[in-house]
Amino acid sequence: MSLPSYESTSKIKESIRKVRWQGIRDGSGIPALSLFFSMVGFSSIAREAGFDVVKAVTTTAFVWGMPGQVAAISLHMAGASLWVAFTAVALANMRMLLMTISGMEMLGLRDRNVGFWKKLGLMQLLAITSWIQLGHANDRYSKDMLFHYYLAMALSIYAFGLLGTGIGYYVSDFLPPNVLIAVLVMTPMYILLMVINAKQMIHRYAGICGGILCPLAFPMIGEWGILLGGIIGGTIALFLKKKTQLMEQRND
Amino acid sequence: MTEAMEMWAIVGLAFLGTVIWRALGVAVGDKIPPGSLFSEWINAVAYAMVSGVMMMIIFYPTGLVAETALSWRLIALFSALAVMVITGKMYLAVLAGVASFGLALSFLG
Repeated sequence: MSLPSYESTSKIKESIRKVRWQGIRDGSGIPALSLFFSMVGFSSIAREAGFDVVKAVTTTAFVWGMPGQVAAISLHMAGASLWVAFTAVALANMRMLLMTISGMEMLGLRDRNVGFWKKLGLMQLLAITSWIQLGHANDRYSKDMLFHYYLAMALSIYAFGLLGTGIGYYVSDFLPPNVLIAVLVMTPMYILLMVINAKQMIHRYAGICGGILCPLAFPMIGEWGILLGGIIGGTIALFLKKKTQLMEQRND
Repeated sequence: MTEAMEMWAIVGLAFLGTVIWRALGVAVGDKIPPGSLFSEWINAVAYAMVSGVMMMIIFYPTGLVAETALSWRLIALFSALAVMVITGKMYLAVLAGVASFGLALSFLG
């Protein structure tokens, strides 16, 4: 077996460098801005709840899931018990299970010789924003290159999120309230637009179904509405995809 | 338990409440064959849940956004969608959404 030549090795290194730069660029645009301002918003809530800046930044660093972070702080403010707070966070961040499975598949981590803790560390960087960005880049690169892309992109977003929490703790008071409120809607809009623009039609169907069903179910069953709406929405989308495939086969 | 300790306990439990799902995802993800029907379903449910969570922020927000009218939030969302459909540019669409929401806040609030 011949060893790869110096030239081919340097070409691979150059490709990896390019992919990483692309990851940093993609992660530092709208995703970073939207996460930054979301975390500014989170920080202002955390400060209101009596958290100091270290606790606020630690929450972002370790939880890295906005709905769960907000649930924990809000319930602490409301004087809820620790058990109630834990359950609420677990419910609010339940989607992490599916996003992790999906992220593992996209990155081909199942077949990589990587230990459990390393995989968990990689998946700790996964938030809605980085997951949706990963889905968009999925077809662009080989699994190996996608891995480098993910690391660069997710770390950029993570850094902006931490920065937003730290800076937001001090500056949220100085920002005009209307500006702060306006930028807080950036994340949901960006994510919803990314879902609508998903590469695969089944994901678009799923996004539309889930987007309609979850808010409908929420007044009746609370946070469980996200789980139920997600399961029904995803199942409908899969059914629609299979039905379309079947019809296409019949027409052929 | 002191106030500071209780806050650290909240941070710890919030971490635990999230990391269990990630850890479970890693454990389960190692067993699901890529490209299988089940994996397709998992992905579809993930998209539906993510979209649902985002729509919840529009319909049932918490914090500062909760002080705004639902109609303004919907105007922002539809403006972003319209610009996305017309121009196909994500930056412009998000800008249009944020700008229309900001304008509604400033002039209708």
